[in-house]
Amino acid sequence: MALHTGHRKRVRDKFETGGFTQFADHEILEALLFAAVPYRDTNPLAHTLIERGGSLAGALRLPAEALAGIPSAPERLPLFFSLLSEAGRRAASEVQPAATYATFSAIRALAEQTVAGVADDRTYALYFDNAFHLLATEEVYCGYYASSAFRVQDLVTGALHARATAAVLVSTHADRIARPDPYEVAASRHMASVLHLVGVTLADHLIFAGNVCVSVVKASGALTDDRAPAAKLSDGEEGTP
Amino acid sequence: MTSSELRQALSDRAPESLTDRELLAGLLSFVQRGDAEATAGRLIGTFGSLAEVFRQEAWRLRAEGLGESAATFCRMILPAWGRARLSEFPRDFVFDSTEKLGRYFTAVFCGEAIEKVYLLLLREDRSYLSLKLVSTGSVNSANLNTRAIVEAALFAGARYAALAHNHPGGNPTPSACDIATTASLRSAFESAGIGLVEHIVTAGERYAPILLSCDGILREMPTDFPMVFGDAEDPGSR
Repeated sequence: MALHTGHRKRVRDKFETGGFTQFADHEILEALLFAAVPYRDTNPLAHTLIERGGSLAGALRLPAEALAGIPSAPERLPLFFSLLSEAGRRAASEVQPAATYATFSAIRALAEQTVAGVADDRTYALYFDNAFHLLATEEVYCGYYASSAFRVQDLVTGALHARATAAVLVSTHADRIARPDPYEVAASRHMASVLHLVGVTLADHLIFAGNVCVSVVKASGALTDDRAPAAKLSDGEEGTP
Repeated sequence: MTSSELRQALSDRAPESLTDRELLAGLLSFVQRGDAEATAGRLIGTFGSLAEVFRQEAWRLRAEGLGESAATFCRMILPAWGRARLSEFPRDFVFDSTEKLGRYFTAVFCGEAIEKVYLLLLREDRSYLSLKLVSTGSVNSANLNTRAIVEAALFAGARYAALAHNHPGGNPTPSACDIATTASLRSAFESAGIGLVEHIVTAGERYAPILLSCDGILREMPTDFPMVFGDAEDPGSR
C-alpha cells in the first residue's frame, strides 16, 4: 500500500507542475478516480471505463446501470461522476477573465492580499502575462530570502510553467524592518538577470514589514538594466496608460 | 451530516438543481473528512464562486483548510472537464467546416481565463495532425513570432493550418488587429505552401470566424497591412 500511495503523490505532483499536458486521457481519469476509490490502483478501472464509454467524456457519462456492471467500480461512482460533470460544466461557464494589474498600486494591493496573515519570513512570486493578467501566484521560499538555500530554479520553472513574461516578488519581514538589506537587493538583482535570460522581466520586489510596504525598485533603483518594453508598470491609477 | 448521509441526500437530486455550495460539499465529501458543507461554504464565501475556488493556487486552498489531495482534486476539475470536451473529437476528425472548427476551439478554450493563441495543423484531407499553443497573451503583432509559427506548421508536415484565440469574458467579435494579423499570417503561410483555412475567435461557448473561407465567402482582407512583424527581440527588423 505504501508503494501505491507514493504513486498517487507522484501523479498529483506531476499535475501540480505541468497540468494535464503530459497526461493521456486514461491517466486523467485515473487521477480523478483517486477521490472515488481509496487506496487501490485506479489505472485498470480508468482503462475499462474509457473502453466502455468510448472516450473520457463518454466514461463520465456512463449510466449507473453500466457502471454497476463493472466489478471494480465502487457503488458511489455514479454520484461522483454526476457531481464532477456538473461542477466542471458549471465552473467552465462561469470563468471570468483573469484580473489585470497594470499599475503599481494594483500590484501593491494584490501583494498585500497575498501576504495577509503571514507572520514569518516568506517570499512569493506573482506571475503575469504581457498584459499584466495575473497568471499564478506561488510561495517560492520560506525563510530569509537572500540565503543560499533559496533555489533560483524554483522561481524560473514557476515562471515558465505559468508562461509568464513578467513577475513581481513579494517578501515579508517578520522583524518588521521594512528596509531591504544589501544582500536582499543583490539577490533580487541576481533573480532579475536570471529571469531575463528566459524572457521574464522581474518588474519589482515588494517587501512588507508590518503595515509598511517598500519597493526595492523605488528604494534602490532598477533591478536590471535590460528591460523588455512590454513589462513596464505605470504609476498612474488603473485605466490610464 | 456525515459524508455518507450527505452523499445519500445528494444522489436523490438532479445535479443541476444543487447550489454551488451543495455541489462542492458533495465533491469534498469524497476527498476529505470533516464537515464538507461547512468547508464548501467557507471556500465559496472566500473565493466568490465555484469557478474561482477551482482556479485557486493549491497553497490558497490549503490555507482555507483543504488537505493536499483535496486541494489538488479541486484544481483538477476544470482542466479535466476541458480535456473531456476535447475527447469528443476523435483522432481522425476532419475540419472541413467553420462549425467544426468553432466547436473544436470552444472545447480547446473551455475554462480558460487567460488569452491564448493556438495553432491547429491539418493534413491534406483537413484531418487533425496536431495542436500547438503558440502564445499566451493577447493577439498583437508584438506577441506572435511569424517565423516560428510558419516553421511549426512546415516542420510538422502540415498542408493546412487554422489559428484560434479567445476573448475570455468578452465577445468573439474579431478586432481590426485580429483581422490584420490574420491577413499577414495567411500570406506568410501561403509563401511556405501552407493554406491558412481559418482564424477562429472564441468567447465562452460562442465563436466567430475571421476568414469565413469555409463558407466560401472569404472576408475582404486588408492588403496593405503594416509590416510590424519580425522577431520580437529584434526591433530593428520593423
